[in-house]
Amino acid sequence: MRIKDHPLLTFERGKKIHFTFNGHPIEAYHGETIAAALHAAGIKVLKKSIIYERPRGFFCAIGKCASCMMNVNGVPNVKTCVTLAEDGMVVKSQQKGNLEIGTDPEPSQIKKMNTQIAVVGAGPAGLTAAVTALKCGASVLVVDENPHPGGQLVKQTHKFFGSSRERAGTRGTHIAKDLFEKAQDIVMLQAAVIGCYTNEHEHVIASVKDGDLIELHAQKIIVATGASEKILLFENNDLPGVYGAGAVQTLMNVYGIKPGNNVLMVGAGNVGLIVSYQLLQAGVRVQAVVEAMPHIGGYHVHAAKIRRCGVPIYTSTSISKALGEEYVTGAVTVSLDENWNSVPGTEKEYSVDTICLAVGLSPSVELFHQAGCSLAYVPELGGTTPLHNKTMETTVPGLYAAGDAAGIGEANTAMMEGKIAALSCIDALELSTDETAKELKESFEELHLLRSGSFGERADQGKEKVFTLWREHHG
Amino acid sequence: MDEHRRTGILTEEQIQELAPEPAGKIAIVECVEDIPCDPCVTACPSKALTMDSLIGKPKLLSEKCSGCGFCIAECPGLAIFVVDFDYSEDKAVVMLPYEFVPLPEKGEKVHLLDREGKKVGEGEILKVRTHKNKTTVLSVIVPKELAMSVRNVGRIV
Repeated sequence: MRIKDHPLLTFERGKKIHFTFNGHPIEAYHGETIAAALHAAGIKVLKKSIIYERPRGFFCAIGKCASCMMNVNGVPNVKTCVTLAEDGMVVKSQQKGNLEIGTDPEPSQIKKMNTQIAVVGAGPAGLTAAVTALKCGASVLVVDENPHPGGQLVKQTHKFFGSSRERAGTRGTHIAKDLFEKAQDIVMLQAAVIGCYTNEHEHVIASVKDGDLIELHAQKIIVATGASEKILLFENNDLPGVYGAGAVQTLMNVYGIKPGNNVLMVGAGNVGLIVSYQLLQAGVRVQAVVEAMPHIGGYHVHAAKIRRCGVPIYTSTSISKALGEEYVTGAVTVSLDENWNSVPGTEKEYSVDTICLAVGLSPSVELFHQAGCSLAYVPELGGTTPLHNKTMETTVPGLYAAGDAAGIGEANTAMMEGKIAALSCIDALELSTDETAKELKESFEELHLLRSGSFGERADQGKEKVFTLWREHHG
Repeated sequence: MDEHRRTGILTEEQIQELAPEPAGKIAIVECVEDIPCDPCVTACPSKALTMDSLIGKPKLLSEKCSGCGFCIAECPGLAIFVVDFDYSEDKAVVMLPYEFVPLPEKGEKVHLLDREGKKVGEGEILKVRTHKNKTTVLSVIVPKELAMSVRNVGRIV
């Protein structure tokens, strides 16, 4: 399942290591997560659900969905999709009769750290915020639970749209590399943020790294925790082999592992179209793209790229069922009428080993909620969103939001929001200069421009709602 | 709703508009939506591609276009092609972006694919040029009547 030749990526695999899965030896490469290495070895079923004993595999592959949790070296509920495989590890499935409770590991020590600006999340928004603030002379620390920096940016092998004054025409993978090079000394990886506490004077972020509790004291916080993939309701949607589009990208573009050999893509927004093209580049067959809406949601140019490779796109069509016992062996699609009801007799069966869902994202707002920020359901932005103003400050003073966590957009707008949040913090910390003030003003204009046009309209309306609600909240 | 938003394929009328006068060597810009994107404008050494603002469709000033093809590998949407309608009496050359491995080689016979990926004939690779950004531009010799149909190639195995 490992990709050898790729038109855009080269996979520099680390040294070979070995671990056991339910007693069986598994070969992996240093730098691969447990879940990725198991997938490369053809293992898709990671555990069984406790009550109904249904097979479970990973869904998101970025540590958000908990579907991949296993017992690792005696510790239960380890997210194996964000935990690196190590030589000699003992990995076991969790299921009925095999549920070791384990002991809560006591933090071996509490480390205190200080910074002016703390950033949660090392994706496009978080890294851009960090690099911007660093350039302005602030002390910055970025915390991320993943083993690799860059968030979803490292998987975007396509050339970015947007303005050539910014980074249009550059592949996302290169933007990620560039950002991380500038921020590498201030990024703390494999550190999960478990809470954010605020008083009048400062913020404290609680984070766990290598079993230690880290108390990070900061004057300003930028939360850029990204988003999680939405699931769709259909029969057998929990079967291993039903993956979120981000998970498919993680496997093939980060680890160089094919998610499968035959894929049905669900969703013809930009994500579904782009990931379909990336699957073709990885040498995977995409049998069809189905889209419930009566039209393609993404850009025509992305649709055209896969159409000329012979991939059909069926609009007004959705998935009704995944087939298979232990993992996906097929899928059934059905046409929808103008009221979104299935049309009997239009079922079509596909022989596929992977069903990729690209049906939208929801902002990851847990930390905002825990920190006491006001949230609102804004469908235009993908769901529950933290209220914020134009400067990206939430209803908790000194706590800022950026990127998909502040409402679903795309990578260019996420980076621009990261920049705005950082420059606003710089202003609030009284570190601003004429130059940074000018940069902030230009960033507002650039962001507005990116959201103009028919494709950006919806997000723009969602943001207007959020700004209005923020103002109402502050009376 | 426009037909191309249902099918992912441009209509005959849209294709007609792309090359009103099929002659010479010229860029065919298959970018018909107002998306925020402008790298083609800066890529063009002849200033033949213009946009009023970041949002909008690029306009091709055909009298300025030299058919150099610099824009092909720069377009993030891989939506620009260059057609030399007058390559020979009965052949045209289509320059197209290609991002798959293995790459075809110069002189190789290939399947000619249309906008739906359907085989419409056989052609020959004239030139293979991989750009710094890893997009390859293939120049393919095609029957003249297929110049506005061929938009991809498939390797013959």
